[in-house]
Amino acid sequence: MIKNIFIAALFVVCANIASAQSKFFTKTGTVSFLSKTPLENIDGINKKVTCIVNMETGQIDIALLQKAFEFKKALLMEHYNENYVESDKFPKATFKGKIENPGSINVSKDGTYPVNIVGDMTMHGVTKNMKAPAVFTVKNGKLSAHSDFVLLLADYNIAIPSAVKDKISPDIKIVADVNLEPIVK
Amino acid sequence: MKAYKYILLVLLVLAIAGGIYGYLEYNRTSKDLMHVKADINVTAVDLCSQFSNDEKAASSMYIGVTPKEKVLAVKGKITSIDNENGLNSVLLGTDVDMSSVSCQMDSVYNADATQLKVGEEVVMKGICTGFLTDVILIRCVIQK
Repeated sequence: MIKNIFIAALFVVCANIASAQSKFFTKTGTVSFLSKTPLENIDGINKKVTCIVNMETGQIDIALLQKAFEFKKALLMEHYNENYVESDKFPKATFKGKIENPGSINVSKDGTYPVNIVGDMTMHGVTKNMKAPAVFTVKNGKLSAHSDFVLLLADYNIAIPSAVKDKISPDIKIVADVNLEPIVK
Repeated sequence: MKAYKYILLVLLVLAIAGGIYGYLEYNRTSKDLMHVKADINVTAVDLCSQFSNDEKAASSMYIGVTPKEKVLAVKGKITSIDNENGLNSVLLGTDVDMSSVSCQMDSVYNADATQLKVGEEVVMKGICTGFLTDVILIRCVIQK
């Protein structure tokens, strides 16, 4: 009997710990993009990406500011903001979606957990449903996630002028990395 | 004959000048803000409250329209100094407010942030990129 109560109590304690650690976030996630062509590679990196993940429901929210992408060349940054993503009109890019099978990730056990993420990405005024593979990693109690995928500029109404069509790839590689901290309440 | 030669020479000089200008423009890097005078001086507390009250108005006030950039000098108390992805971020704000001003250092001056201390007052110069949970400044330098 006492043993049963003890197990029940332990279960309650464990459940509390799990629920206390179900929400994770960061304000310093990294998203980079790469346009690769034989003539020129163009890349930008944004280190101020916010990401909130609820590991219980799988709900995942990501937001970034287009102007926070940094480039090696100022001219590329200006063209990116002015002509392509039109940052003054559409300052943010967001993703709202879900981890397909959040139950497969055990945040209290070290390991790597490959999953799929599905949801809506919004940028340049266009919202599009998408699916991307991601890997969640738990190491020494720390949760991080990585995803890379390819998106098509045409899907987001971003046109490449014919004068530079050899220098800008129509498909862009996106790499996202987040180190998540538990939200302690 | 002579006039023809002059025209050719002028054209050649123009072509070279154009080439040099194009080359420099193509390889131009983002402006180093250390020696640039700020366009707007504001306190971190004011900046945060303006963005959380009316993001649109604050954006048009504090964010330049590309390619023009507005350089902000933001004065505030340091609540934390973080390094999570190689670049230091200096957070300015108050302990009670939800949002603060997050100043991501210019990579050239990244080490300068390590000389700062939490609790001290500082003026950070940078380019405002907008508002997520914090007001975000990039390419920041410490105003001396």
